[in-house]
Amino acid sequence: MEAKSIQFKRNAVEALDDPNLQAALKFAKDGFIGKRTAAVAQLPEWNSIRNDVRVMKNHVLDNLDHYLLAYEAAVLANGGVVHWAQTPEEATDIIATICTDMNAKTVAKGKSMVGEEVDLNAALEKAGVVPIETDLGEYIIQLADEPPSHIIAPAIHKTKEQVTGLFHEHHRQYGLHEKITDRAGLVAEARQVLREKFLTADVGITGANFLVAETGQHVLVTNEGNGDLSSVLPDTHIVIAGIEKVVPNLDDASALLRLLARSATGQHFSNYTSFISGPRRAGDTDGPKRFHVVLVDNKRTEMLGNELRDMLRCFRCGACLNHCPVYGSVGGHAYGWVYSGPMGAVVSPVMIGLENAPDLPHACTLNGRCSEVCPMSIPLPSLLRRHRQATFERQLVSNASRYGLTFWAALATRPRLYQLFTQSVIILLSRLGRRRGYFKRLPLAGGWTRSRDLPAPQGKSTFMALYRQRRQSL
Amino acid sequence: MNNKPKVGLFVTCLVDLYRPNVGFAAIALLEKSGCEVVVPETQTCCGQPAFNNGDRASTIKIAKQTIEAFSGFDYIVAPSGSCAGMLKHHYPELLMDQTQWSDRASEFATRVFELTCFLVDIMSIDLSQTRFDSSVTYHDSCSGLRELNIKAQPRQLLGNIDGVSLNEMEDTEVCCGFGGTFCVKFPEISERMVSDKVALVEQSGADVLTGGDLGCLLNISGRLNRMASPIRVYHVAEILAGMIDEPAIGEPTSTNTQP
Amino acid sequence: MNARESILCRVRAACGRASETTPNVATSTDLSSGGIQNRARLLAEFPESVRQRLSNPQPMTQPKKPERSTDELIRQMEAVQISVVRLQSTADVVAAVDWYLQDQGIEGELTVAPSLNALEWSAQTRFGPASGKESTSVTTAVAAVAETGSIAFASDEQTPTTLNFLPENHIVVLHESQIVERIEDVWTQIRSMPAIPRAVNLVTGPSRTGDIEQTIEIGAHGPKRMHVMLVAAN
Repeated sequence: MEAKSIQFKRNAVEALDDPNLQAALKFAKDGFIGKRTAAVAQLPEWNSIRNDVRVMKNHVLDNLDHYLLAYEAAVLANGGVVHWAQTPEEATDIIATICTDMNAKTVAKGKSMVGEEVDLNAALEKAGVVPIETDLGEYIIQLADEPPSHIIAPAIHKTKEQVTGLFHEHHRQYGLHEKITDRAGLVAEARQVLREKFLTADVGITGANFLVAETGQHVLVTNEGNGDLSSVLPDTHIVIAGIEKVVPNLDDASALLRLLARSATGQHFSNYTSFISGPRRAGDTDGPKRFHVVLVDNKRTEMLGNELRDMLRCFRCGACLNHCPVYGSVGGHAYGWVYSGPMGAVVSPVMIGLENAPDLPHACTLNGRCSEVCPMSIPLPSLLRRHRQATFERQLVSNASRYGLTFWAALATRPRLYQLFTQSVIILLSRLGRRRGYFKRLPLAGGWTRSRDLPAPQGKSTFMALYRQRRQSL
Repeated sequence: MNNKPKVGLFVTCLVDLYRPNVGFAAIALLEKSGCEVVVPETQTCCGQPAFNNGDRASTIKIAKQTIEAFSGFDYIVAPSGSCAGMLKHHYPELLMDQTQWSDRASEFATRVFELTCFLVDIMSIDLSQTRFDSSVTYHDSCSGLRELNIKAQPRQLLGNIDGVSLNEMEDTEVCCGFGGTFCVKFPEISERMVSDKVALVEQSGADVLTGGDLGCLLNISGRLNRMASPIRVYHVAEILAGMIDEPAIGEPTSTNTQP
Repeated sequence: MNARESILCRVRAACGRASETTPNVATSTDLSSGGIQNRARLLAEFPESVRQRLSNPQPMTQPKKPERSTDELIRQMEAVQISVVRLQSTADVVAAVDWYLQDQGIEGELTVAPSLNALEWSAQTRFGPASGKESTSVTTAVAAVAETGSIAFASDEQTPTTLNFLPENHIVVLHESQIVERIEDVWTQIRSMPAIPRAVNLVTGPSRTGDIEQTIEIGAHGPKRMHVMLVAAN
C-alpha cells in the first residue's frame, strides 16, 4: 500500500471527527485492557518469564545467522524449500512466481503482517492470482479495500453496522440479498462463503508467529482456525515471515506463547496454536504437497545493526497499541501504513523512510505505558527518542520548532541570561493575565488554547527572583 | 545543625515560571523533615524539551550544567517526577559514553529524588499539624509513576493530613495528554486525551485535583477551566505544606498581595 | 551475491562478526539423501551456546505444576467451552458418540480417525481425512495439557489434520494417561517420535473470533463444538 504517514496530522484530525471510528475504538479499549490485566495477574511467573524471554531473544539476535541457517537446514530436511528476500519486491516476486508456476487461480491467505508490509495482495493480483483473506477481520477490510488498523484486530475500526453493509454489498454474488444485522449471522455468512474458498484455493499463504530452528516448524497462532485451513487444504503452502521470527527450540517457543495470547487478547492460550513443517509425509492423507518459506529482511538487518535492535524482539501482540492513549484516540489508519501505535511509530519510519513518516515518532507523550505492558520489554519511548534525534539532525522537523528549540537551548545553557529572560516573560504574562487567572488565547500558544485555558503564572516574579529577594532580606 | 542532610532543590522550570508557591512549599516540607535546603542559582531546566525533541547535543550541555550546579549536596530533590526521572535515569544514559562524565552522572543519579519519595523513603515528616478539609483526587503523572515508581508515597503523605479524603478516579495511571511539546504539536489528540482525563476527574466527585507534576496540572486545570468546572487544582506539595492560601492553579488573584 | 548470502552478510556485520563466512555445508531437500546428517555437520560449525540451545532446551521459568492434572485440565477445558464426559473404557466410545450426537441434535455424516477403526462402529462409518461434507469428526490426540486446557494432535495417516478443522463438531477420545502438566511435556513426546509430524496442533476450544466489535462469536472457521471423551486410566 502507498504510505500516507506523511499526513499523520491530517489523518489524526479526521479520525477524531469520525463517529464510527470513535465508537469502534471504545469497544477496543474496553475489551483488550481489562482482559490482559486479568490474564497477566493469573500468572505469578509473568515477570520472570518476561525476563527469560528477553534474554533468549537477545541471544537469538546475537546469533541470528546461525539460527536462520539451522532453521533452513531443518526445513530442507522436512522436504520444504526456503527462499530469502531482501526487499518487498523480492519477496512478492518469489511468491508470485510460485503461484503462477502452479497455474494458481486463487490463494487462501491467513493473516500476515509481513504480507501486508510487502503488499503481497497487490503483487498477486498483478500476477493474475486472486488473493482471498480468510481471517474474518482481514476479510472485512479486504471487502472495504482498506489496510488493517490494528496488528491483531485488523478491522477493529469497523462497527457491526458497517460490516452488515459490506456483506450486503459484496455477497450479492453469493446470493445474499437481505441485510444480516446480528454478529452471529455475520460470522456464519463469512464462514459459509470462505469455506468454499478454502476448499478450492490452489495455494495457501500464511505468516508465522515463530520459526523453530530445532525442528524447522513454523508456529501459527489463530483463534478462528483459518491459518490451519489455509495451510492444510491447498496443494501448495507458502509461509512468509520476517527473519527475526526464528527461535532456537520448542521450549523457547512455548515460553513466548505464554506471553503472546495473554498480551494480545487476554487469553491463556489461543485456540489454534499449530507447529507445522513441510509438505505431507509418506502415508499422510492430507496436507499440502509442496511447502515453501520466504524469509524477508526488509530493513530488519539494518535495525539489527543500529540502536533500534531491541525492536526486533517484537512479536506483534498489539499490547502497546491497546494501551497507547494516542492510538486509542485516533486508531490505526491515522498512522498511514500497515503498522500503527507505538510499535508502528518505531518500525514504519525504518521501512518506509523517516522522511515519509517524520511525525510518527513525535506523536507520543512518552508516557511509557507501552513499554510497561510490552511482554518483550522493548523500551519503546527510548526508541522513539532515537527517531526524534534523527528527525532533528536530518532537519525533518519544522523550522519554527527547530529555531525555537535552538533559541531555548541557548538560554537554558546560560543560567543568568535565562533568569533575566524568564523574569521578563513573567512580568509580561502577569500583566496580561494574572487578574483573570488564565488566558483564553495567547499569541504562539494556539495549540494549547484551542481546547484549554492557559493558567496564568502565579505572580509577577519567577521563583528564582523571589528566592533571591527572600535570601537578601534575611 | 551540622548533621542535617544538605538538600539542593531542583526547582524545575515550570515551578520557576508558573508556580513559585510549589518551590516554597517544597522548601518548607524539606526543612520540616529536618533538611538544610539550598537553591543553586546556576540551574535552569532539566533539558527535557531538548531531549524529547531530539536535540541530544544541547541536552548533554544542560545535563553537565545541572550536575555541576548540584555538586556538593547530599541530595537533589525536585517537586516533579518527570524532571527527577530525567536527572536520575536519562542523564547517566546520555553521558554513558563520556569517560570523565559517566561515573559522575551515575553518582549524581543516586542522590536525586522526587519530593514525595524523598519525604517518605529517605526522611520522615510529621504532617499531623497540617489540615486540608477537602476531597482530593490524585493524578499519577506518567514519568514519575513509571520511571520512579511514585504511587504510594504521595497518597501516604496525603493520608497523614487531617481532613483530606482521597477519591481515586478511574484510570488514574492514564496519560493526561500533556507530554511536553506534544500538547502543542498535536493539539487535537491532546485535547481528546485531556477531555477524557477531565471526565474521570469529575466522575471522582473530588473537590480538588492534585498531582506531583506541574505540566500535567497546568494541562488538566486549563481544560477544567475551559469547561467551567469548579474543581480546584493544587500541586501536592502545596497541600502537604498547608500553603493553599494562594489562588489555585488558573484561578484569578483575589487580592493584590504579592506571593 | 545472492539474497541469502547478502542477508547473512548483513546479519554478521550487524553482530560485529563481518569477517565470518557462511558454513559451506550442502543441505538437502531430501530426507533419504542425508539431510539430517548434513544438518549435524552444519551445527558443528556454530558456537557452543548456539549448539547447546539447538539440541538441549535451556531452563526457562515455567508456571508451577498443577496439583491434580486431570482436575486442572477439565477446569481449563471447560473455561474454553470444551465439554467433557468421562468414560470407563474405550469400549464405551461408540455408544457415547451416538448419545452425544442425539443429545445435541447433530445430524449428518460422521468421519472417524483411522486410529479408532478397531472400535465397533456401524457398518457405514467412514474413516480417513475430512472432505468438508461431514458434520462431525471423532479423533484421537497425543496429549492434553493441564496448564492450558489444550489438546495436542499430531498428523499422520491414522490422525489426519483436516479432521480437527473442517467438521462443525469435533469429538476427541482422550486417555487420562495422555494428560501432561505443561506445554513442554508435549515436546518431550514429539521429540521421541521417529520423525517430526507434519503438523502438531494444540487446540484450545472451538473456533472463535472477536473481529466484529471485539465480541466473541463461536464457530468462525473451525469446529463450533468440541467434546472430549476422557477415558479413565486402568
